[in-house]
Amino acid sequence: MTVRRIEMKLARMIMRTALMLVAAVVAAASARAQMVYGISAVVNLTDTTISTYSATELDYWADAYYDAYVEGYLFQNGWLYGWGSASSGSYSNIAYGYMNKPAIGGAVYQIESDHYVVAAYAYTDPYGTPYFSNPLGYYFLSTGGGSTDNAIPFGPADGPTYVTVQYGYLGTTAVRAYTPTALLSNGSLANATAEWSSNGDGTYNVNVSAPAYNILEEYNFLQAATVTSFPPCTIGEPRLCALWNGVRVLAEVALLAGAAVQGLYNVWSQRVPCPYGWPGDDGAVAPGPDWTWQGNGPPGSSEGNWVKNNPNGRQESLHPDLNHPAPKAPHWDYKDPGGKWWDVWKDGTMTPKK
Amino acid sequence: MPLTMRTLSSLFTRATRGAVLVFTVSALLTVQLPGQTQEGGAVSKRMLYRHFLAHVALLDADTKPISTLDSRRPIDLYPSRVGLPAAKFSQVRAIARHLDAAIRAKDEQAREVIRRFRLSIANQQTSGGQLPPPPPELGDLQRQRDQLIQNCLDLLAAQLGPTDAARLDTFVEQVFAPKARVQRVAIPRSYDPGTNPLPPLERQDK
Repeated sequence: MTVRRIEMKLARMIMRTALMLVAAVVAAASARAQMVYGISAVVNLTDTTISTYSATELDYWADAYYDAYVEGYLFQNGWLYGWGSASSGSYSNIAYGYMNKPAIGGAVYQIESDHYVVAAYAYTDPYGTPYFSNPLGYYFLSTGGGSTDNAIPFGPADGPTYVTVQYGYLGTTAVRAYTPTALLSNGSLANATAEWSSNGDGTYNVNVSAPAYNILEEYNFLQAATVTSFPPCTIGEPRLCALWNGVRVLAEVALLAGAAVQGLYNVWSQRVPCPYGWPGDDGAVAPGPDWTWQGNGPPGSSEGNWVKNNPNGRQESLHPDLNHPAPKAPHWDYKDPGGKWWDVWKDGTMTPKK
Repeated sequence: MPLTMRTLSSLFTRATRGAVLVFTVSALLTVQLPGQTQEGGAVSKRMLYRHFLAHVALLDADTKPISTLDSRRPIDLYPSRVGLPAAKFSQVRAIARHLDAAIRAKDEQAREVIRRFRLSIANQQTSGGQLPPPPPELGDLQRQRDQLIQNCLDLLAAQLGPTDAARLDTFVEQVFAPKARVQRVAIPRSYDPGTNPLPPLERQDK
């Protein structure tokens, strides 16, 4: 091979490479990235009201092929407190919604939103046999696999006979908020103190002045729970999948404020269901047929307990403390068969006494 | 042809030109294209406000009271949380309602384009996800939609004045969306039927 031929080969190779690269640039410039916006927000409107917002929004390019779907999960001090979902359906490019919930002072609220695009696939062979196509490798949200789940018919005039809807999980956004009384000026919670005073209209004034532990115990605002559901979920018209040009999600992730919050969370996370639920609003009424009043005072008074004798000889006791001054909420004192003391709360759960 | 200094020089020159060309094109490939957002970068103020105002509009439409003991609505609590007088926040609410209606109208326009596009591909037999690109007019509609939001932001800033607008900015950026950032999502892009076999659908009519 002569030098001249080598030279020509090199020149051709360079030109081909350059042409391919230029073509790639042109293709990239003409392809519009499909954008998906996912957002979680939680706003502590007051010490007693929290509002969340979850949304998955598609731009029009993505909306040409997909629906949007979002699921929102609200946690209060690590416990699931509310949830809901929304779908864009066929006539919108945004799946969004909110939850308004009563809040308690000194609590941590976290909203987590799972964001999805919804795609429908259908394929019929020349003989009219429908097949499922999964070019993006999505999994089934509900079953983890299968071909007929979520299948809905459409057409026959406008398209294939069969379609399967799938949810493409994009990611989860999450953000936390704290009800204001949890935070002192130095950001610490460990030595927080609080005073609670009722305004008589369901609202409360709070001056921080009591042990932080008690702040977490104060949750009587949960009684008037109102849950706003997300708009109803509908599955939209069938659409076919497209080449994925790139999806981006806006993610919100907030960190815990500090170790003090974590410590309070650990206490609150020890809440467990009371074996007897909420014993009742009247301390003079026995929690059950097996309970007898033992004490110097009349039933329901501060001097005495409701006692249950178990066949194994171990006693349990319940003592009503339904007029406990703020910041601690009305509760029952419960001694379990093992001798451990608990506070029983109106929602039927209990936390260990300090 | 013998290997002379001239031919060697020519080869070197061409190779250098080629390298420069490849380098230039590679650099072009890494340049951010219009409409793209930087990975890990800040979310645009326009998008944050779009969703903040959507939240306000949603709460505004909710007529339920906070509780049986408190007849106020959650939206009534928003002004003090943001740090705006109720009268000022009513302007925010009005703009949120206006934007909500304007976006819905724009989405309706896009919906019709998308509906026609979907009908055009409804009968297309696809096995590998090779579908035509979306209609170009969606690009114009999207730009108009973005401009709608921007116009509302400008109107909001003008109506609130610099002090209250800055206060609202602080709320949106530090309370409503304190940690927003752009993230690229990993989605499988390729399809290999051999590695992802799926059974045929069952027939439902017939």
